[in-house]
Amino acid sequence: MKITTVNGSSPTAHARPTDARQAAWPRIVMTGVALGFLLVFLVLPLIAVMTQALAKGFGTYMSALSDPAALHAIYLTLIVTAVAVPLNLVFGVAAAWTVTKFDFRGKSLLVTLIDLPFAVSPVIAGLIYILLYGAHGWLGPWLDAHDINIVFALPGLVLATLFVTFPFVARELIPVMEAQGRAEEEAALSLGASGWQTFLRVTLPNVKWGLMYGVILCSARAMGEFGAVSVVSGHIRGETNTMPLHIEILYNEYQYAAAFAVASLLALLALVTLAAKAFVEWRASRSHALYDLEASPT
Amino acid sequence: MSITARAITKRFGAFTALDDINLDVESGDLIALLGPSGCGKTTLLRVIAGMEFPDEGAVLLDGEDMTHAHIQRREVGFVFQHYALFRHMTVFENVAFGLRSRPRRERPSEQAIRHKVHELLELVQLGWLADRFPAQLSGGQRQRIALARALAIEPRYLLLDEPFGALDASVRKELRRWLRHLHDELHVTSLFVTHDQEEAMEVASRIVVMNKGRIEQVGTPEEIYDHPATPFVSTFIGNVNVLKGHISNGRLLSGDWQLPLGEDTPSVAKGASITGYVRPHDIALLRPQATPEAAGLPRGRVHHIQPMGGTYQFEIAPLDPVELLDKSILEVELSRRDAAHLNLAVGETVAMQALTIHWYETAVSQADGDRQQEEVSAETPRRAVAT
Repeated sequence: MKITTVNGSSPTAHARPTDARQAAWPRIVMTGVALGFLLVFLVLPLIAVMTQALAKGFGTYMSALSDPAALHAIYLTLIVTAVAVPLNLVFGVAAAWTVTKFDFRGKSLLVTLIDLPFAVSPVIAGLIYILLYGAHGWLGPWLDAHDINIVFALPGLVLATLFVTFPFVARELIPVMEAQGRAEEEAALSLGASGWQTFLRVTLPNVKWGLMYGVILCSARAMGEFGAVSVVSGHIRGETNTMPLHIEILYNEYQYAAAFAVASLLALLALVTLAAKAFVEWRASRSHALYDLEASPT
Repeated sequence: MSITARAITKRFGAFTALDDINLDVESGDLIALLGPSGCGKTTLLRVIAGMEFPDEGAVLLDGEDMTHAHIQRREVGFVFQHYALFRHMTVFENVAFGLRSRPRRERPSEQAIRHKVHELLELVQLGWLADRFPAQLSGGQRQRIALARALAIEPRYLLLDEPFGALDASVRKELRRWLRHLHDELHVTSLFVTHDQEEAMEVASRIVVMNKGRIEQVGTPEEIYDHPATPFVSTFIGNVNVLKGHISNGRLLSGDWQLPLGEDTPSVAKGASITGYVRPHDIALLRPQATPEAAGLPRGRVHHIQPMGGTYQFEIAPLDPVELLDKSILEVELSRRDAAHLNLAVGETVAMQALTIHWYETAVSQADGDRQQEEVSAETPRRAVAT
C-alpha cells in the first residue's frame, strides 16, 4: 500500500500557503542532510579512489593490477568468497528453517548466537582462531603433528571469513520465513509431500529473493573483510594476502597509485554487488506486492 | 472411514487446549466443530490431521490407531482458513501438487495428472483459471482451488479449518451451500471448524459444540437448538433471555411467570433456585386487555422495535417483576405477520407470556457445577394459544 502525501495543489494548501511552506522545510533539510552525507562520505571517496588510482596514468594502473602479488590477492579473495558464501548459504537456510518452522527449547538463544558475529569485533574473531588452531593454540600441536595448516593459510582465511559473515543469510531469511508462516508447509505435508519435497518445492521458492539478497550481502562482506582475516593471514605476500590486506601493505609501502588501483577494483566489485542487490530488491518488492494482494481478504 | 477421538488431552504450556475429548464421527458424515475462539476446536482438527499430537488419548481413523502417525499416512485433505495456496505456483500446479508429490512408483502419468486436475477444476467450476496465480484470484475462488487441491489426493477425510472465515458474507453463503452439495456428491467424511452458528446449522448434519477445551453437546442442528444440554449451549446457540427463579409445587416461578413442569421432570428439591433460558421467539406478546389470561401475565413497556426482514425484534422493559439476569431488557422476536397483527408502537404496554423455558438448577457450592446439572424443559400447555 502506498501513502500519498498532500502536495501543494490541494485546496488546504491553497488556502494557507504558509503551512505548506512550513511543511516543506523539514523535507528539504532532511533530504539535504541525507544527500550531503552521501556526497561527503560515499561519492567523494569513490571519486578520490578512482583519481588516485589513475594519478600516474593508465599504464601504472594496469601494471599494479597485473603484478603477481596483486593477482594472487584477487585470486585468494575470490577463492575465500567462493568457499565461505556457499557454506554460509547452507548454514543460513538451515538455521532460518529451524528457527521459523519448529518450536523448541533454547530457540531465542540460537537466534542470539546467530547475531554474535555482529557483536564481536572481527579482530577478536581472528584471535579466537589463532588461540584454537595457532602453533601455541589448543589444537596447534595436534594439527602440526598431522601436517595440517590452518592459521596463516587458506583454511584460516576461510574460517575467519565464515565467522564474520555467517549472520547475513540467516538474518535475511528469518523475517521473511516468519512472515510467511507454516501454513503452506503444512498444506504440502497434508498433500503427501515429504519434508524434503516440501522444502525444495514450497519453502525455497518462497524465500528465493530474500535468499539472493542475503547471499549478495554475504559476498560483499566476505570480499571486503579486513580485521579477522588480517589476524589469521600472517601477511605473507603472494600467499596469504587477500585484496584488502594487499591494499594495506601497498599503502604502508607508500605505493599509493598501486594501492588505490587495487582498491578501485575492490570498490568496483562492491558496486557490482550493490547493483545486483538493487535488482533483487526490485524483484522482491514486486513479488511482495503480489503477496500483499494475496493476504488481503477479497 | 470413521473418525474416533478417545480421551484426548492437549496442553500448550499451562493452557489446556483439549480436555478429555471423546468424539465419534461416522463414515460419510458432515460435522461442524462449533465454539467461541480459544475453545479448542481448531486444535482438535489439527490433532486429527496429524499437525499436532495429543498429550493423552488416541485418534482412530477407520478403527486404526493413528495417534502418532505422520500426516502423510492419514490421507486427510486439509483446507486452511487463509487458503495456504502455493503462491509461486499456478492454479493448475497447486492442484497437481499432491499427485506430483507421490513416490515415482505411485505417481500417475503426466497425462493422467492433467486429466485429474482438469476434472477437479471443473468440479469447483474454475477450469478457466488454471493458468492464473493465486494472487490473481478472489478469496472465494482461492478457497475453492484450495478445496480442489485437497481433493486431488482422494482423501478419506476432509478437514476444513474455518474455511469461509476470511470471506465476505455473500460469498460465504454461496460457498456454504456449494460445500453441502459437494459433500452430497462425494460423501467423504468431513469435519469443519467454525465459530459461526448459522454456518454450522446450515451446512452440518451434526454439530459438536465446544467450550474451554471440552465438548458441551453433540447433536443435530435441531437437537442443539431445541434441547441444549448445558447452560453454555443455551446461551451460545441463538439469542436467549436469562432468568432467575425457583421451583415450587411442581411449577417454575420466575417473578410473575409461572409454568407447570413437564411430567418427566426429575424430582427437584422444593424451593430449589433455578436459572432459566427463554428464546426471544418463545415469548408471546399480547394486548393486556385481549383475553382474561392476559390480565394475569407480567407486563412490560415496548422500548424499541427493530424490523429484521422476516421477523421483528422487540426490546421490552418489564413493568411487573420478571427476574432477568444481568440485563434489564427482555428480547422478544415475533414473525412479521404476528407483529403486524399486534401493531404495537414504542411506549405501549404489553403482556408477556413465556412459552418454553429451559432451566437448570443453580449450583450452590459445586466448583464446576454447571456441567453436572440436568437439563429439564418446562413447557406450558398454553403454548398453542400464542403460536
